[in-house]
Amino acid sequence: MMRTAYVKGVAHAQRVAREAVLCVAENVRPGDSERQVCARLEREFAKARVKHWLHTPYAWWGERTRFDWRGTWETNALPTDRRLAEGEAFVLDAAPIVLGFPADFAFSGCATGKPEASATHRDLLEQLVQIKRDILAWATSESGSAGLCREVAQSIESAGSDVIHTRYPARVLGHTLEGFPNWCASAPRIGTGFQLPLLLTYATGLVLHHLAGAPYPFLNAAAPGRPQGLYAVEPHLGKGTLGAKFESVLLVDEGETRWLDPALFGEVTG
Amino acid sequence: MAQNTRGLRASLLGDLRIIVLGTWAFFLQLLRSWRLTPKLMDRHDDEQQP
Repeated sequence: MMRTAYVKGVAHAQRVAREAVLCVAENVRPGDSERQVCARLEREFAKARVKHWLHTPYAWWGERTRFDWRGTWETNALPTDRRLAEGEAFVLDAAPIVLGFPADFAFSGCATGKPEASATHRDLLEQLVQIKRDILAWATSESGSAGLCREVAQSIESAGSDVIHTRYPARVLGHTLEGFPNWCASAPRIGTGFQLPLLLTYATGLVLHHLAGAPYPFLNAAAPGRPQGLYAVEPHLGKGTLGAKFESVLLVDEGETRWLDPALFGEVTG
Repeated sequence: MAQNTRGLRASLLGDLRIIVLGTWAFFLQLLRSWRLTPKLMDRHDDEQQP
């Protein structure tokens, strides 16, 4: 497949994901439960005829936006009956596969009602804006993928915030969106949360990395080499009980490093 | 040379751990979400109040 066609396919998928998530996000209110909002997200994606997923929609409220839980991330991250209170942060995150191409979009918001919490949340979003800008330079630096992760973590800590993205499975700052459509991209949905296309694509990617020298599928502190190709990048930070993140698609190709959606939660320009 | 081999082995074991734990967590998640999924996909779930 032509490179341009592949990037356009991922951009279209990301556009679908962004529109569905933002449509639901603007109607999130105190009193809504994580499960109710995930059900709304499911309906929006059903309207867009999404049937396959890297992961189904997640919604996290309040302290759950910081992943401070104990035990397995995958089970704790599932939507609960917890209801959003005034002044609490929330995060919506969904990764559909659209026409065989993967997307992964996340939005961070804060319920109204507590001006102090809103101000702190605004500070976190400003940090994310700066990090998003800086990643363009860090992604092409000599220090490679591990260096990029180090720079992001240092930037978060130097602003007095906590690094949260290292609490994801495989401690990832990001993961590749290359290699689709593939043999497992149209695997049926099973339950809620991470899906077979995610598990099988990344397991295959890790095996091929060790056996055949294929590019490493994750951006984390142990990642070898330099970023190359399309990645879903998800810096996640926290302060007090508030957590915030964005998730956008970064393209690192020869002579070209850019976000498919340059603004924070902004339009996917492709 | 020996240091390089140790590094490769650590990297291999680290990635093997990701695959094994990821697969285990996937099955736990499947069990936990079995009854949740139909509720999320039910068109009227949003209107139900506790």
